[in-house]
Amino acid sequence: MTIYRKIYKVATVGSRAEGNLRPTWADDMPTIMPGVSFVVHEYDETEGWCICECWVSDHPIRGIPRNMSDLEVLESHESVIEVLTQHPLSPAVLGILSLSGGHSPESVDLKKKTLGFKGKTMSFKRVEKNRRTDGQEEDLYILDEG
Amino acid sequence: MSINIDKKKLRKELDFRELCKAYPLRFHITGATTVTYDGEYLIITSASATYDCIGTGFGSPSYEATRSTYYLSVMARIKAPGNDTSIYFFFLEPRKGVYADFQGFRHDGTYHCFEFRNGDAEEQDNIADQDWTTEHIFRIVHYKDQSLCQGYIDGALVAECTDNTKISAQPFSVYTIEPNGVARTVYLKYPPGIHEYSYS
Repeated sequence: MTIYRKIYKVATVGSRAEGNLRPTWADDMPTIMPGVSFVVHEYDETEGWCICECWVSDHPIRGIPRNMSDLEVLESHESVIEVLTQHPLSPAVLGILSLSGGHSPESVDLKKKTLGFKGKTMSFKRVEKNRRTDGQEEDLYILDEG
Repeated sequence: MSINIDKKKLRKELDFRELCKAYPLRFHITGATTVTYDGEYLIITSASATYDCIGTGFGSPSYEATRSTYYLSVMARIKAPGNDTSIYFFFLEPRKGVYADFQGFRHDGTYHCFEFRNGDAEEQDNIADQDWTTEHIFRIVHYKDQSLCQGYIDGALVAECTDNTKISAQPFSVYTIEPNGVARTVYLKYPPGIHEYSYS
């Protein structure tokens, strides 16, 4: 299972003054390609572009598993100005998929690093401790990251 | 005794569009935490091992059960001058502590990020080059059909999720400045406090 990433220079709409500066595709992404997540690293409001790093995953925890070929399809979207190979603000880890412990996994095999969730068997990379907003500490199964 | 008010100055200082959309606040505060007001900010100083916050109470005031296509859009101006790590800054939950359906901004101890949770399945989007010790305007946009959730900072979108299995359902309460068990001092601009989307 892999997280796939791609960096795009994308045209923007809105403005900071109005509180709604965003990539042109932001509000339409659920219809353009549901299952894509992104972080915006940089805006140039004067020239009307932003640097938008999209990511997808083929992990079964995703509603719609996707891979690099989907991100390549996005390259031809009308709002994409350029595809970049890197950006100084692109973090080492952009996206993390996880599942809380407690009642969520139906089964956990720590030796095989697999768990059962909603009838599916899924692999996980490691277990972390996380504190919920009620103060309870939970096991957090990191399914995928990158 | 009389109080003279310069109405022109008052009109200049207050953003009435924000003020008129401000939510009543509910303090979820325990004994070890103090709340003070300096005329500009509500200042929450928490001790370690406390999970206090300020929120809107139970249920989103803007929730409309019979409509399916609208989006909730809420904002707050927040800063944590001393240390901005390990804080749940601004987030939605059905009620305080229902972390299984959390949506919002936090610092997880390593990353400034936006978390999207639905039934304990989680996506985390890490946002680089952030400094939340200074004041920022945090805004969350959540579509009722769970197709989209967005996080804005200072009027610009920074993180977005379109995986509807990670976007939990309305109604939400809105919460801010939860210290996540560490001693922190966090400032919430008041007025307007927590409020619906408006900008100027």
